[in-house]
Amino acid sequence: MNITSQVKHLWPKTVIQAFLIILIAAGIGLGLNHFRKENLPVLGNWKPQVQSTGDTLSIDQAKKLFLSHEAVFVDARPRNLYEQGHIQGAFGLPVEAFDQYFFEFLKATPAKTRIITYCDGESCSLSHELVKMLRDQGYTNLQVLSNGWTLWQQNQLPVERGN
Amino acid sequence: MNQQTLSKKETIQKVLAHPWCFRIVRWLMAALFIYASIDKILHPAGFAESIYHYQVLPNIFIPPAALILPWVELLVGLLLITGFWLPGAIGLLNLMLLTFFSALLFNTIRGLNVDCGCFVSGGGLVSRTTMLLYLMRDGFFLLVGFYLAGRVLNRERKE
Repeated sequence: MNITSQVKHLWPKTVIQAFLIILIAAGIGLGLNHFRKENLPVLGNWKPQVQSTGDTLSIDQAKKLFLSHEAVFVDARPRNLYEQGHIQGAFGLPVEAFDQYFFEFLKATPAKTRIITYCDGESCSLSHELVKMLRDQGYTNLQVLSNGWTLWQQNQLPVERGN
Repeated sequence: MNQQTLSKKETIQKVLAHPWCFRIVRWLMAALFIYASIDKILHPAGFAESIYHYQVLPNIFIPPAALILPWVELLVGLLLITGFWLPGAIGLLNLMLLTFFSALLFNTIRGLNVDCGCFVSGGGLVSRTTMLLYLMRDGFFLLVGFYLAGRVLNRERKE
């Protein structure tokens, strides 16, 4: 048998088996989810969890707070991205190395300080995660500037490089 | 010299054609897929977030994908080990690898980091490097997938 007729011969078998595998997987996956206590709603409007926890503010509000020095900006992105450029005066507190930088942040920032976290991209969850982490450490006045780094640059607001 | 390279090529072909090579590669891929599926099966909500970070699937499809895909991975892994339904299992394996690779390639080109769903504006070189590493890794798996597909074709041909 040559290769073309072989592929033709094997094709229906492959499709049927693949279909059955998916069917069984769907049965088990959806079935188990149905009986799970903390299940994932299969239908309906799914939204990323971290996204809905943070209180967000607009770029205009953030700009006002920046100019009046009423808030401290905190960069949640990895350190190398922070060093390549960040909001002027922002503190670099990467979610991935929170413990490493938090002590320094704690010394410089009283618990009641108004804090605005940001990362980059509409769907970036790091700023929301950072809000949760800071809340656990006793900070109460927390907000997220969603898609912060991109918006900040688009509005040509002050930035700086390095540490 | 020429003869030596030719014999090297022949040796590689011989090894790749050996039934045990097929078996071991199948088991390694199976181990990989089973290992990858366990955490996702235990934490579907977390896996849903990961899918979300790729920014390719509409939100409405995310929960079903997060609940079903890990079980497909697990079943494919088990079938690869036992040798049942190999055409279907290897077909799905390649389909999944191809999907992961394309989604990754698409995001590397548009500059999205899939670890956090962050767009890397400007010179996010390190972030791009991690994406390139992921691409190389998934590209390698894809080659392995193609090898398995070739072998299953060959095997059925002899039967």
